[in-house]
Amino acid sequence: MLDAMSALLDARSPGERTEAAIHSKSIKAAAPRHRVKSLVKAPKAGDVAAQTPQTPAAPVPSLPQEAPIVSSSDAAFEEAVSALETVPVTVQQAALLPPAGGSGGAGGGGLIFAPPGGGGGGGSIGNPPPDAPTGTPPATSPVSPVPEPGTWLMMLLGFGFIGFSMRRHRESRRPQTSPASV
Amino acid sequence: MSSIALLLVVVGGGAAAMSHIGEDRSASVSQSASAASPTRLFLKKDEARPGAAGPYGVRSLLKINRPLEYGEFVWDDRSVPDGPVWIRADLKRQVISVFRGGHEIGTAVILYGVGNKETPLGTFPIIAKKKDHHSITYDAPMPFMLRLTEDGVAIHGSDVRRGRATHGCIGIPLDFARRLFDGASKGDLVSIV
Repeated sequence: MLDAMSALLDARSPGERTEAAIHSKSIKAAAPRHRVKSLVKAPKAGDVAAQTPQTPAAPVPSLPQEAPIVSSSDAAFEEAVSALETVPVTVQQAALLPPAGGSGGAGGGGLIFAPPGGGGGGGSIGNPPPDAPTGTPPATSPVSPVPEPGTWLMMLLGFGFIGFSMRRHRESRRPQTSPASV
Repeated sequence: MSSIALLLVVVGGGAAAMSHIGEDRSASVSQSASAASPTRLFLKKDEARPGAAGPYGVRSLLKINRPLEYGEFVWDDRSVPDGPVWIRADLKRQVISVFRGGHEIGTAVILYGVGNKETPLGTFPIIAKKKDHHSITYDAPMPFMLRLTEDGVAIHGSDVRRGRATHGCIGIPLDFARRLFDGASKGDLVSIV
């Protein structure tokens, strides 16, 4: 480009844009989507998902090298449980605790842990390697973004009621009109 | 019941987003060209020839000796004769220049694409003009739109502020966009460098 032109354009330029200066704000209105998510308690699901492996493990008896479902370092799972603050999960956590006492033994006890996300790893034998994965159950989204069956049912009932009342209304009107027309 | 609540949230959120866009438009900063009354710098004849800069050459430029503010623009087409319009968008400098017959008649600070939606470089003819365009993809108003590519890259009026970016379009101040829209025709060339 021409030197004179470059100099003039440089003089008026506010400078080069720095990526750090850009505060990303999508025009596509991301906010409503987040609000919908929060309505179905998605954030807590994210917490759980972030701390747990995503691959679902079948509840089969585990191999010795696998980590036990309950390990002393299972702080992440406890945190997730406390975040959920629901009684059933707390009970399941408590049910998991006994095998921890027998972790040094022959183990292999059946795993009864069946959270909403499906089974976790199997029962354990022996001590786990210290850096082994904690083996917390895979967490699929506990709440589906799709409306619950109850919601659908209520909506269908509502439509049914409207339809029924319309039908009744029409039927009740018919005897009145027919004599006049005849 | 919860489905109704869900619907309300969605509708409410959408309305909030729309009102926000409305605010952006109304808050658009602009400064008139006449107040600035810039002088013009004429280039030498050998510099002005076509090819050296632009398809029609550059014969004169608006002389602005200070950096433009975001949202500010200069438009001065006084005593500039009719001629082919050429638009030059300089992404690195964040400025756009509008030339008529080789003379610069307007300039402004621009917004451009960020991330994986970068503004494409090259020379594009204006393929469509639409005064009151509303993007379906982004559900956003794009007034005084000059479309450059089939996939939707365009020059349009925006709330040009520091820290803003686009999804690949070139955003220019609204008043500047109005003048450019009036001055540019379908087929006019736009060089993005």
